[in-house]
Amino acid sequence: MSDEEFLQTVGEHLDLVYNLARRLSRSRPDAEDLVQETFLRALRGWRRRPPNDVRAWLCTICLNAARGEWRHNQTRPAEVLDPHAGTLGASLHDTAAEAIDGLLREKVHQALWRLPAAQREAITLMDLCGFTAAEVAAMTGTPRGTILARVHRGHKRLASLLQQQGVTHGGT
Amino acid sequence: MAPDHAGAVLGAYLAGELPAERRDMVEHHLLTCVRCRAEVDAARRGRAAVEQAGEPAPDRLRRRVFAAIAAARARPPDTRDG
Repeated sequence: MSDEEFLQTVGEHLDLVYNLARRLSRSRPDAEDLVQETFLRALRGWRRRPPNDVRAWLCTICLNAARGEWRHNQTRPAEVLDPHAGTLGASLHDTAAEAIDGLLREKVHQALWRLPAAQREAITLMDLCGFTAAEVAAMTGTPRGTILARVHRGHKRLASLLQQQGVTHGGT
Repeated sequence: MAPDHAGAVLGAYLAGELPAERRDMVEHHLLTCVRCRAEVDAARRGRAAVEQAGEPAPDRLRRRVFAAIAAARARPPDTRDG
């Protein structure tokens, strides 16, 4: 398949990859770097062999990139300037994101970062990316039961952490 | 049950991934087990919070990624591992 097909096929999964990258990165700029790196790696992979399951493939690339040393080894993606971005680019949240409760989202994000990485990863892949436990197990090379146990423990811990901050059931 | 196994069963229950017969068994158990019911309630709250944390990718990121892909496409394919 062509590069054009690549763009059409992967473009619709940008939100999915962003939500995964956001949970694998401490900051938004880091998450955005990770998304760009994921799609550049995906383009190289696509040229070798397009995948059968694009969603799982993209998320696996993102997971591997996040675990790798690309940030430190200067495989960092080449800077491509966005001509539409203002000088405050990284700190300007788009209006859609602001429409949702940004404060709550940040509290949940911080609470997720207090979980062990494996729990945060499994929770993100199931709750935000919509994969089944079996799919997450295949993507991460982890037994399905372990994934489910991690997600369950993580959910309970999150509820406790958020309750300590006065956040209950997703509300403030 | 070992804690991890119980966690896996309750996790599968909450994810809607238990077969009907086992789901019914869990629900029957939850009627009488205060501890497991509290666990399930807490996990539900945790999951609800995560689900509300999802957000669309910023428009500027979409433009940036597509610009990076366009730039990469203008170069010949490389042989690095992805």
